[in-house]
Amino acid sequence: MKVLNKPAARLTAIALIQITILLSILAFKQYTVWTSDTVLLRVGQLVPIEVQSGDYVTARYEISSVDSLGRNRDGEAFYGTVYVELTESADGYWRAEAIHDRRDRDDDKNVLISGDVGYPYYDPGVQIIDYATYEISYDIEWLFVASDDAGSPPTAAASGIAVEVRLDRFGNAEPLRLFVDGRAYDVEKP
Amino acid sequence: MDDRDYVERLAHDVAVWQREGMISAEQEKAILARIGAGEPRLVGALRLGWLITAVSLIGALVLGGGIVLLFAANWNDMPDWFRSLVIVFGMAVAYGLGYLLTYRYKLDRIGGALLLLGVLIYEAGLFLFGDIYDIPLTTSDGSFPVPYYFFLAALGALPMAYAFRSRIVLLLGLVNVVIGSVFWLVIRYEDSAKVDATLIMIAVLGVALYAIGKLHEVRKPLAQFGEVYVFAGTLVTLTLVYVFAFDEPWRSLIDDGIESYAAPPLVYVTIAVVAVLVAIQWLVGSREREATAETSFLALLLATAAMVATWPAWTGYAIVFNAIFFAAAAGIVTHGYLRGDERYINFGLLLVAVGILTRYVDVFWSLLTGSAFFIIGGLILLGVAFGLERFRRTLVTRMDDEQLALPRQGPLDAEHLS
Repeated sequence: MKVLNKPAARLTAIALIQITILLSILAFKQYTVWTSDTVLLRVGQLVPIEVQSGDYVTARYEISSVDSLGRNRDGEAFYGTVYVELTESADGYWRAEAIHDRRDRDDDKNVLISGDVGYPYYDPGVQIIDYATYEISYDIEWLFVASDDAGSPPTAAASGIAVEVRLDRFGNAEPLRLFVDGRAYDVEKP
Repeated sequence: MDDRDYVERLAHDVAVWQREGMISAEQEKAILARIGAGEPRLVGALRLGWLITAVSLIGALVLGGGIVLLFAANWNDMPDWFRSLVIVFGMAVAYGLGYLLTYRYKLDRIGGALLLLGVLIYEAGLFLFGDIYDIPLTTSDGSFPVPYYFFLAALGALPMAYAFRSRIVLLLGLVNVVIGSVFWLVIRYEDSAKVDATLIMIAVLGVALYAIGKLHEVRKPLAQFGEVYVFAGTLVTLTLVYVFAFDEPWRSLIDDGIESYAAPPLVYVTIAVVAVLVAIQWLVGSREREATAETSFLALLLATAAMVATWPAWTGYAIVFNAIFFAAAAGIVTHGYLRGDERYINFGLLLVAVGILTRYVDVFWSLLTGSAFFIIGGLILLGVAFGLERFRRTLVTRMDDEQLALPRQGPLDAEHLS
């Protein structure tokens, strides 16, 4: 270890330790990708938007509106970051089973997708008005469809629209493919 | 403290003593001549050392903040690979420049500040990497930062501190350890009756830092780090003792229906481990009367922590912790007096003032009308300030007299000055 007596060697060694720690975050990210789940989400409405550099669509998912499924741990309506527990239906689509305010699952076979509920409306009496339906965004509503793949943006008129989404252990969603009338398009977040 | 640090600090201190009228201008010149700094330009250069350190450190912090702000404004528009490279490149530049300035150009103060900047970029990089690669920065309910980031930050900072003998980087690393431990404990026991016990563990962690500091002081090459640990440990423990000195936390615990013997086993394991540390630092230390008194005080703190953890429902603890707070303040003043170190005296007296002011507000806020509260409070403060100033002046003067009466030792030896 005599070499570490030289300041340059010590500095290099410590910088390498620090860079290794930083790279471990990347490695952990890769691990979350390897251990991720892939789910198929039904799209209720698809709106094409043409942008100069490519083709974009906005998707409204079946799980974008979720019927009120309980309350948070404080007994109030959910707001802010939530974790929607998805379960696979017989038709292959994944649907909302429950909402949680932290990464908890009722059933290990289910998966979690993190979303954001807008702040609920407060009435003058400071009483939170419960939502009958939560409007939740998952940061996968805007999709970029590569021009070469799409040729033209998928149309809203099509039936049987779905998005294949990869979910990591933290509930982060990554869109993979858009299915329109049986045809698959590679998609990504803009 | 090495000889150069000592000489620079003395050059700075004598200027303050002369300004405060504790020594004459002739005495100041004599002391400066004795440490080899008779030349006015040399005196100026010595006194400038502290300023350069302060300006360099502030410069590093401001530069680090500026870089973060610059990228924060345009962060989301940059591709992931570029953002990652910016962080690694920033670290490399800071370390490279720090190395060159320290070892090639002998500008070790600015060089040290750039090493600190490199560590700050690394720590910011941890959180930015988490953000870039969608690894959560907070717990799943968004309540607390993820504690592992702080532990990873400490893992990168502490080796740098030891390898390049940087006390400021060591302090940064210890802050990471303490914050990480606080969040880890709170998250572990969140939503349980045991969450209150985490406060005890944090106070005990402060005692551990103090004992580790004392262990550092035993070995000369590590002695300069001991002070940082002792400072951090004192701050952590006294902060908790200060909080426990209020009546409200204990009433709230009783209102919540806290039960005896409810603390998690981890509390007792922590106390036992820290007790072993405290015993070791006494056994390998000087075992002088002052060291034994310090160790007894640490043992008393640990015993109190164990008692509070076991039987928490008693409002009388507020009085116990007030006694501990003021005893600690008195101990710090005494320590400063015995060591001839004015910094400890000032810090101890500051604690006394804070303690008295807090108790005054705590007791009389609801009893007196607004004007009476401030008039009486102001008079008490002036009285306390008068008493403390006289006490401090007496101590420091006596301390100086005693030191002047002693034969010259250590850094003032002729061989050091030649």
